[in-house]
Amino acid sequence: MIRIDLKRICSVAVIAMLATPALGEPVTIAVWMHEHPPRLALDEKLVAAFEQANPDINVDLTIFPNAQFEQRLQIGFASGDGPDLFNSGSFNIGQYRHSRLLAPVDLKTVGVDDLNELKAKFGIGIAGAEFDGVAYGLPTEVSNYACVANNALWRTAGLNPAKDAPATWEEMVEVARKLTRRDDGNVPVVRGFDFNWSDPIFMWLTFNAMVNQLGGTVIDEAALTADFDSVQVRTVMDFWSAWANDWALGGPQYTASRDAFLAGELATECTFGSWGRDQFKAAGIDYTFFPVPRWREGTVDTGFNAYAYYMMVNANAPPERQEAAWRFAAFYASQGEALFEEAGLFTTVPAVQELESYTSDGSNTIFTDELDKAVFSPRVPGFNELGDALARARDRIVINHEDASAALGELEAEASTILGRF
Amino acid sequence: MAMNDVRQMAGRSVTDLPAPSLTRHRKWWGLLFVAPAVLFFAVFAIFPIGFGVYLSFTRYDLLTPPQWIGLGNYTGLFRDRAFLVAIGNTMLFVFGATVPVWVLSLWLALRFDRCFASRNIWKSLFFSPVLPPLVVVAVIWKVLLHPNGLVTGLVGPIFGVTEIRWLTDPVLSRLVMIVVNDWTMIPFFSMIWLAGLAGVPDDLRRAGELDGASDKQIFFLITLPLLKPTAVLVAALSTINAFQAFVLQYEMTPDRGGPADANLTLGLLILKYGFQYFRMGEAAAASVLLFAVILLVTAAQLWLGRQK
Repeated sequence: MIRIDLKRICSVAVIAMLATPALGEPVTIAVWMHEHPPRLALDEKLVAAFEQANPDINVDLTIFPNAQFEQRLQIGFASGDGPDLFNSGSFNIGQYRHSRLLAPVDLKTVGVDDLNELKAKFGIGIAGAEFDGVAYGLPTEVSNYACVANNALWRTAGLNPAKDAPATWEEMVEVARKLTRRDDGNVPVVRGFDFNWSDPIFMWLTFNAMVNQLGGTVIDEAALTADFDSVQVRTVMDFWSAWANDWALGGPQYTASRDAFLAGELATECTFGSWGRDQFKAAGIDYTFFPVPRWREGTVDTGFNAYAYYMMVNANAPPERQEAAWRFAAFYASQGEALFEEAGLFTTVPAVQELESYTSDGSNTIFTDELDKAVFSPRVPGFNELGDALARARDRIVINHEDASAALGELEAEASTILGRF
Repeated sequence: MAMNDVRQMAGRSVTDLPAPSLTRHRKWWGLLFVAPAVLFFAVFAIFPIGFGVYLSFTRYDLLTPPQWIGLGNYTGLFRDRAFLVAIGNTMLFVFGATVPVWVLSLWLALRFDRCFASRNIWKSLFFSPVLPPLVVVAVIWKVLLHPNGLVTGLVGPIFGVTEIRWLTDPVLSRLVMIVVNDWTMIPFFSMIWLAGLAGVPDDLRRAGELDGASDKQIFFLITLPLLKPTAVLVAALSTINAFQAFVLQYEMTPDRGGPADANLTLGLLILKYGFQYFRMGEAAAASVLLFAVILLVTAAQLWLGRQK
C-alpha cells in the first residue's frame, strides 16, 4: 500500500511556490553603470520607457562614481552579488572574457540573425567586443581621439589650425616649437603640444597606436605574445624621449596634458574625444579639431586607438535574467540618437550620422573618418599590468635615461611572463 | 580601601568568597556585555584576516572562484621583480620615516618643554600639519612641488635653476615622499614625547643640576632613560605607519608609484595586484608577508625596550 504523506507534499509544494517566481511576475535585472553626469537623466528616461514597453521586466539601475566603478564591479562578482548587466569599457573586456564572465550576445533576443546583421544594426563599434566571430557586448559609447587646437594660442604664434595643422609627427615638432613659449630659464610656460604622460592607459591609446602607424604590433591577441623589442617600438620611444629631453617640448614632469589644455597652458592636445566639446566651452576655449598626425614614413593610415563602452551580460546570471538583460541592452544601445544629442556620447548606430545636430558640426566627420581607420587597443587579459610595464619602460628610458634596448628587452620579457599566465 | 578591610569591617571573614553560582552568574553577564564588541571585532577583523590568509594560498582573480595552489603565491612573489622593488622602496621609506622622525620629534618636544614667550601659539602652529587628512596634505604638496611651482621658486635661485623635477626624478621623488611624511609625523610624535616628558619628575633634573651635571648629562643620564617607554612607543608607531606607506605615493607620484616604480611601496603594490592586475591571491600573500614583517619588527622593538 502506498502511503501518501499529504503534509510533506503540501510543504514541498508551498516551498516550491515561494522559491519560483509566480507566473506573470516581472523579472528584475540588476544593471550597473559608471557615472557620466550628462547621461544620468537620459538613463532614467530610458529605463522608464523600457519598463513601460516591457512590463515583464524590472530594471534595477545602479550608478557608481567613475573612479570606483571597476573595483565595485570586481567586488560584486567576487561576492556573488554582481550585476546581471553592466556597462564597462573595452579595456578589461579581455580579462572578463578570459574568466568566462561574459555571455555571448543573444542574437535572437537582440533581434538579428547573425553577426553581420548585428554589425549593421550597431555599427563598427561591435568590433571592440568581438572575439573569433562572437560578440560579447553591445556598444553604448564609441570613442576615438582627434587633436584639438586652442585657436587663441595658435593665433598668438601666428598660426592658423585650419591651414597649419601638422599632418605628420615630424611636422608636429616644428609646429610645437612655434607654439611653445618659454621663460628666462628656457622652461616652457605654454607648451605647443605634449603627449599624455599621466596614466598608463594612454600608453595603449596613443603610444601603441603610433607603433601601429609604423606597421608594428606589440601584442598578438590570438597567440597572447608580446613584441616590444621591435624597430617600430624603438622609433616611437626615441621620439617620445627626444620630445621631453632633446627638444624640451614637454615631458612627464609637467601638468597632465588635458588639464593643461583646459587651463590654457597647452596649445594642442590629442587625447580628447568629441565629448570634450562641453569641457572646452566651459573653459572658454575657442577650438578647432584636426586629425591625429601620422608618420612621414608610416605604412598604416590610422589615428590613435579607439575604445568603447559596452553593455555586457554576466554569464553566471540565471537564463531568464540573461535574456531580460539582452533585451534591455539592445534597447539601450539602439538609442544612439538620444545618447548623442542628450548625453554627448557617440555610438556607431547608423542613424546618428544622419542627425542634423551631427551633420551641422563639420568636425564630427573627423571623428567618424578616423574611427573607420582606427583599431582597438589589445583586448587581452593582463591589460592593466601590461600598461604599467610599458609606462615603466618609458620612464626608465625618458626619465632615467637608461639604455632603450635593455629596457625594451626587459619589457618584452616581462610582458611575456604576464601573458604566459593566461 | 582594600576589599579585605571592607569585609572585615562588615564583620565577615576574608575567606568568605562569593558563592560559585554568583561567580558564574556574573561571568555570564560579563560575557553578554562584551559580546557585541567581540562579535564586531570577529566579523570585521578576525574573519577578514583569516580569509585573507586563506586567499594567499589560492589563485584568485575575483571573477572566478579561488583555486588552492599552496605556497605558489609566496614563492612567486620572491621571483616577482615588482615585489622585490617594492620591498626595497618600502625599507628605504621606513628608514627615512622613522629615524629622523624619532630624533626630530624628540628635539622639538624638548624645545617645547621649556617655557618661552608665545609657546602655546608656536605649539599650535607646529602641530597644524597633523590636522588635515593625509590625502589633503598630498594634494597640496603636489601643487607646491610643481617643477615651476612655489618650492622651486624658493629653492631654485640657490642653484640657479627655474625648474626642479621634484616628483618625476627618481631620487628627488623618494626624498620628497620622506620629507612630506616626516613633516606631518614629527609634530604628532612630538606631542607623544611631550606627554612622556611631563611624566619625568622635575626633582630628578633639579637634583642633577645641583650635583653639577651639564644639560647634556641630565638629558642622557636622567631624562632619556626615564623616557624609554615613550621612546619604544614612538619607534613602534612610526615604524608601523611607515610600513603602511600608501597615500602620499598614490596621490603624488606619476603612474601611482612612479617614476619607473621608484616609489612603488608594498601598500601600493598590494592595491595593484588585487584590483588592477586581477591577482588577488598574490595581493593576499603580500599582505600576509607585510603583516608578518610589521609584527616581527614591532615585537623586536618592544623586546629591546624591555631590556635593561
